[in-house]
Amino acid sequence: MNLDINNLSKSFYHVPVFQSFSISIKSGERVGLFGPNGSGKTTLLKMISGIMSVDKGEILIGNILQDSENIKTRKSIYYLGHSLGLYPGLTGNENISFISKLYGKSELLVLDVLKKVGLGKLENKLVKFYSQGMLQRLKLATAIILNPEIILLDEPLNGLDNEGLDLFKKVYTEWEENSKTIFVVSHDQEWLKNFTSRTIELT
Amino acid sequence: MSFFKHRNNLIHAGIALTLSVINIYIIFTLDPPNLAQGVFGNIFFIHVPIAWSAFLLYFGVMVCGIFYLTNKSIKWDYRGLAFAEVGTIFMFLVLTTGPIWAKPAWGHFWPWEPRLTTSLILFLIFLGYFMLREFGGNPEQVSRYAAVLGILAFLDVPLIFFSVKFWLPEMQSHPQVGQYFSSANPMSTYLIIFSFISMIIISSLMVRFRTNILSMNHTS
Amino acid sequence: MIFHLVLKDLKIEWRSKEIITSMFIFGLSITLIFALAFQVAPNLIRTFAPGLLWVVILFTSVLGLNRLFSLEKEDQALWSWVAAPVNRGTVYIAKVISAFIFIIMSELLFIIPFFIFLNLPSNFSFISFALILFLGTGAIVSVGCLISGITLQARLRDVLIPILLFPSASPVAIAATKCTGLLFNQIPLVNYLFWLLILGSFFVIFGLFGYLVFNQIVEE
Repeated sequence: MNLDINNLSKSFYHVPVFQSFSISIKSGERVGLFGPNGSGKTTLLKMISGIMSVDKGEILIGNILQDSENIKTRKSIYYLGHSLGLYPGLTGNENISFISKLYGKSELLVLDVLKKVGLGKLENKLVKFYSQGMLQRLKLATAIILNPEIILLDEPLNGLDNEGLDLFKKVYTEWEENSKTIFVVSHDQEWLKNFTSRTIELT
Repeated sequence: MSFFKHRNNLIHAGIALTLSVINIYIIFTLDPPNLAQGVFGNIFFIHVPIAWSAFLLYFGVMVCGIFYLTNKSIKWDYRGLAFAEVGTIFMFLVLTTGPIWAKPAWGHFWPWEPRLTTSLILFLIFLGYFMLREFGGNPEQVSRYAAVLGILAFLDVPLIFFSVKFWLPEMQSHPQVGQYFSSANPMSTYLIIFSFISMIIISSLMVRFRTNILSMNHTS
Repeated sequence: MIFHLVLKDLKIEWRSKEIITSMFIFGLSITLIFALAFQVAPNLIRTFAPGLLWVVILFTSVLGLNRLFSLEKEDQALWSWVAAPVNRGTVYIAKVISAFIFIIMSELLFIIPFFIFLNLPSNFSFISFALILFLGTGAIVSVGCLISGITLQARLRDVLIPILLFPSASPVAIAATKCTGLLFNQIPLVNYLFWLLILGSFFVIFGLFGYLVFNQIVEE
């Protein structure tokens, strides 16, 4: 699924972060995004995922306009951002089941996927007791279950141990094989060069 | 002061000034309709038109809010804020002139009269509105929240009015208000309408002036 | 979908029990203060009891709403459904249902001590009382969830919720107090249908409004 951003503008406290920003990402393309802190990397991903509103301009997801009234576009995107967007008072399993219900996915797979990301034994532990790396794995598991066409990754390597990194690489290769559209934000430019088809710098 | 560089705005200000001078002159020199209330009876000619315009201004906040939520143009946000500011100033005047008139007319400063009570409650909601504007988050989000709150406040008006009206049924009779609108004394009705028109012209000038300043501050 | 959203809130609450417990104990504490403050004139307290009851309910509701929405703000948990393909109006309705359940539960807990501490007679129709409690709580919750939504990103959320909720919910305070007062005097239900209508229309108006605008509120 392709992703087009046309003339996007967004400001915070009247300070513009984006001014007429445009980008076009073809279906199956893997694009890396880097830039200094405060350049709006996370902001961009949040706007694409629909978490954040747009001041001006449009975001097209598979040629459909991303809009707060339009539910369809949000179905094909998943924003894997830091360790946020999980209920600390629910267990890992409950969190994933809840999200998969929101996306209309079956929750039968949940346990298998949790085992796959190495959280099989921790599924009934409250998320507030998870470490950074465990949270990152849980988010990864969510992405696997939702199986969206467009995947937005925000610093996906943060907090992962070596085993976690291997796991991430494996999942990432699967996405690549299934020609998912991937948009990655990372400060690790070396990694971006190796794993994406092109990179963009935000200033 | 680029606002007054435009000729139309100058004319608007001129009309507003002339009308309010005439209005105030008439009110000060007119014999009060009810001599028992003394000169305080004349405050009514200011109080009622201000109250009407205050509600009209708050209605403006709601309309701007609806437009802002539907088309997200920042202009409507500035207009909404300007309406809210001017509306709150007018509401404050309502809440001060009301008791001054109520004391001689009804014997106590604060009657829990439906209109006055609705004014007070709306005024309080709008104090919250300005707090929300100030402390609600980043301005781009707060614009949306403020629009929602502006609509919410006005949706509340009929509910507040009717619940207060039937809350204290003894407050329902207003012989003192009636005398200003009786056919025996058409002069006072005309004067209230004239005063209302001058209030509308002044308030619209204030709203346009504030809108202008708000949009200037943020584009520069 | 609504079911899953409500179930999520209930599950979290079932584990921590923090919302209902804090509301219950807070309600109990205010009741204690009222009982002590009215020691001067214990016979008067029966006249004031309906008003006091709704003051307690409003205060505890603020606490409950604040906690219920903090749940979403913690670790930005709300992103899970903001980014999901769900109509956010549905989420608003789910929130109204959860808030309603929590507030009713805490009411059921503190109402018995409220009657005992204030020595109130209980010779009235319990069904009518339940109806009033349901409608009143529903009305508070419908506007309360909306206000909690627009103050979600605010630094001063704890202060802003009561500042905005109390004046907006004043028709509820008036109507519910009036109903309860009439009920305590054993006046049959048909005599205060007007007040029930005010509560009902408040619930419907703000419920619909919340459903329509919640979409715009939750986006950052």
